Amino acid sequence: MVMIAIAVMLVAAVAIVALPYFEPVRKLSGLLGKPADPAVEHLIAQREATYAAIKDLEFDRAMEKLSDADYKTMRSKYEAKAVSILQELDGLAARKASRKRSRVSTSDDPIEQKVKEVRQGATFAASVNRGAGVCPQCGAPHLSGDAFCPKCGASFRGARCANCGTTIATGDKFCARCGAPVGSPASKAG
Amino acid sequence: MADFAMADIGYASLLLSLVLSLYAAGAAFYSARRNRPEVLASAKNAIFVTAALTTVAVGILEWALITHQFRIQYVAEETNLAQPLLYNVSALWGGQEGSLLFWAWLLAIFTAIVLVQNHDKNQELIPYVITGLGIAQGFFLVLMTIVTDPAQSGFFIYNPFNPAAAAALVGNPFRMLDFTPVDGNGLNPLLQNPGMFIHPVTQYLGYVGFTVPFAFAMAALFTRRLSDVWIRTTRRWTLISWLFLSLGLLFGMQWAYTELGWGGYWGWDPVENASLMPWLTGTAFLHSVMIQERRGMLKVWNLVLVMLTFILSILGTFITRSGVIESVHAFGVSSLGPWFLMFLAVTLLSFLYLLFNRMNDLKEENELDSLVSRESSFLLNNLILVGAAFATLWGTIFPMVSEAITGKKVTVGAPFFNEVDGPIFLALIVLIGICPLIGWRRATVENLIRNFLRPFAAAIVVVIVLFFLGVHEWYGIVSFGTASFVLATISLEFYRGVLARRRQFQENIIAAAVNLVANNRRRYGGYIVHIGVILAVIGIAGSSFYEVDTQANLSKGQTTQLKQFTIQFDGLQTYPTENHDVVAARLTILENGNRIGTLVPEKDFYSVPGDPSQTQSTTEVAVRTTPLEDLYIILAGFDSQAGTATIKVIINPLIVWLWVGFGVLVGGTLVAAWPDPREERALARSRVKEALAHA
Repeated sequence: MVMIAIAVMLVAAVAIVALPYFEPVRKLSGLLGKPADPAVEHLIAQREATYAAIKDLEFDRAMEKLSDADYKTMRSKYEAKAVSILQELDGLAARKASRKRSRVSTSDDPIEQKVKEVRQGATFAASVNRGAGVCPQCGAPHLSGDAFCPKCGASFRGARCANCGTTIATGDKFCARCGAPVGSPASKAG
Repeated sequence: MADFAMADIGYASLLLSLVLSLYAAGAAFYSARRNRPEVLASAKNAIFVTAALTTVAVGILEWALITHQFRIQYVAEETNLAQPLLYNVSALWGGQEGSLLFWAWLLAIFTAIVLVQNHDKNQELIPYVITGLGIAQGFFLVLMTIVTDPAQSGFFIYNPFNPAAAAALVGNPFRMLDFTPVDGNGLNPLLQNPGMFIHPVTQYLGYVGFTVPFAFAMAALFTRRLSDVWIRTTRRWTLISWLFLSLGLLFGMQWAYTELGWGGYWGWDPVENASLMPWLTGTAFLHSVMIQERRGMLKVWNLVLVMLTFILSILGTFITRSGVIESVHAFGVSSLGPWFLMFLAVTLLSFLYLLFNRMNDLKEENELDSLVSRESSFLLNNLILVGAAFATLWGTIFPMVSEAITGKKVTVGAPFFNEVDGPIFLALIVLIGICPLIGWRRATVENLIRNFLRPFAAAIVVVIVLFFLGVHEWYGIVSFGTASFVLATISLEFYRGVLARRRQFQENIIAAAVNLVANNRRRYGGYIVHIGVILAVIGIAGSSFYEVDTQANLSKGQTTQLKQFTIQFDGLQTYPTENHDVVAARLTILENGNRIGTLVPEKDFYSVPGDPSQTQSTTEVAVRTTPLEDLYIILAGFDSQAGTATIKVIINPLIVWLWVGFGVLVGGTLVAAWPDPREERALARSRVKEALAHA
């Protein structure tokens, strides 16, 4: 009896553990992440920390822990810092995109290739930095992806894509994600 | 025969768990290095199977404990026929082997939870997290399944060809005796207390929980993903583990207060220190991660703190369960000692190797803007907490070190700890008060002084009032003055926050207060925890500085007096219960001459199995609690022939605030840990960005 029970346990355990080896690898390919790029990681962490810094400055001034003079100096210091981080990230993103472009240039159809290039470049730069910065109305900082100012509620984005719903940066003529033209009836200021 | 079969199945499931957790550790590592997703999927399955198998083992041991399978040595040692069901269940964590199993089981469950939580997140970290958790899991399973006592088996690991080896598996909870005893020894009567049911569980949940942030830290080091993603991902694990360590401290203190019967709750016992140390470093970690999240600073320090907390947790488990501290000779008795030391040494060395190797990726992203800033006060708070942890560690292991070196045993008692840790904690409390007054990044001294004035004035007023109420001792004035200063600063913080919200959103006071906390859960949850700490400090100061006691031998009808209380002895009662005999003294209590009730302190006598002439006694104290003071009465001795009783009466001022404070602390931690959808979104966003940036 004991041996049977143990044998059943053993067989069941081995079967469950071995199962993935018999599954098509394709199905599992999402399981592993990509290796890190320390430079980008570093910049992203710095950017988030700088935004948090600006928020803290606001809070501390509201709580009377920071004098107005200090607030102004620190605020401009961190704003300058945020700008330089964003520029650096843009530079990195552009470099990456151009590397990619040279890699994907094997495609036969020149038009298809062009579309691919533009999309990759645009989505990448957009995904890293799109819209992150300070509110044009009240000056409060906001994270990328925010559609409204977290402080005053002003909508500082142009519009949403009528086709896929992605926010569209001011001045863009086509959606960066799906490529649909901006200006169709549904894409009003959000 | 049932006991045999089940024990064999239990042992087999542990052995299989060992193989699987080591397989998971190795396979996950390999999968990440060679980019083989199917191997990772297999490793994950192995983790889930391990969780199931250890659950089977726990189930079998619980079954054996509840149904009295005394052939299993652990069951015979930790339970007996007369013991109530509750304590048969809790015997699982009452002894060394069961504790090891409990640890391994919790870790297996936690690891499975981590995999479920992260099934679509942190994919580059998870393989290495599995490796770390699998190795820790494997260590505890090795202790249970293959480590033998060389004195009995001649070799330090299990040799299946040696007939004596199975009985020498010192960590195996399913070890069999070669006969079936009629009854077991039973759980130590001192541990038969509801507090002891819950205390070890919370303590272990905290200890084991800190393995998760540590595994993420190691994975971050290994993959060089050293931004704050690992910290944000494990923030809730850290907070909840810390919460359980706090609950462990609370239940432990309450047990000592009500069951040990010496009138106190903390004696700087090695086992108590073992639970305090990881709590201190864990507290430091909770604070310093904020600096990394905000400023990208203290990265190395945070890694070191989470490592220290993990190592101190393992050390705590070891100290509590092995008896090593009482004497180094116990070290030989428990042949698990060298294994624990080896595990700690290997953990420490691999951590240090990785840390130095990755130093270049651990650059600080910022520098301090000003010496007078929240950051520098956090740094100071960290130094103080870690200092307290090391002072405590030194005092705890010093007797062991000195015995090993000089052969003489030195006792390091409460006075050492009170003198060393007392001032450290006082400095910490002052800092709790000052810190919220200082803004992040830069505060002008001028602002600080302005913010300082009102709380300071409040503290002065309190001190003056206390002075007229009769508190004249410097230590009382300092502690209560400091406590009121800190309470005032925190109240000011809430008051200003509410005012700011009212100005900005035109809310009424209640809505403003609720929204203030709800929108800044971490900040205000933290302040609530601080309020709890200060209440606990008030309780500790009151009960340690102003305790008074008296002892009297009373015949029936006689009375004794302590301050405003008159205690009248109404006679002894003796009666048996299910598993012990009770001797109780009935006492009528009068306050300022008015009868306020009766108290019945007891002595309980448990028979010693195998020796009917002997009994083991425990003291059940009687306590009357009011917000101002506890009246705490111990039946110290009695003479049933003469009908007299010796009672010890203690008045412990303000002690209830210690328990209330811990309750507030728990509430504050829950506020801080409560899931915040916005925070989740921010984390998801930063993950997506990271992934895209690496694409």
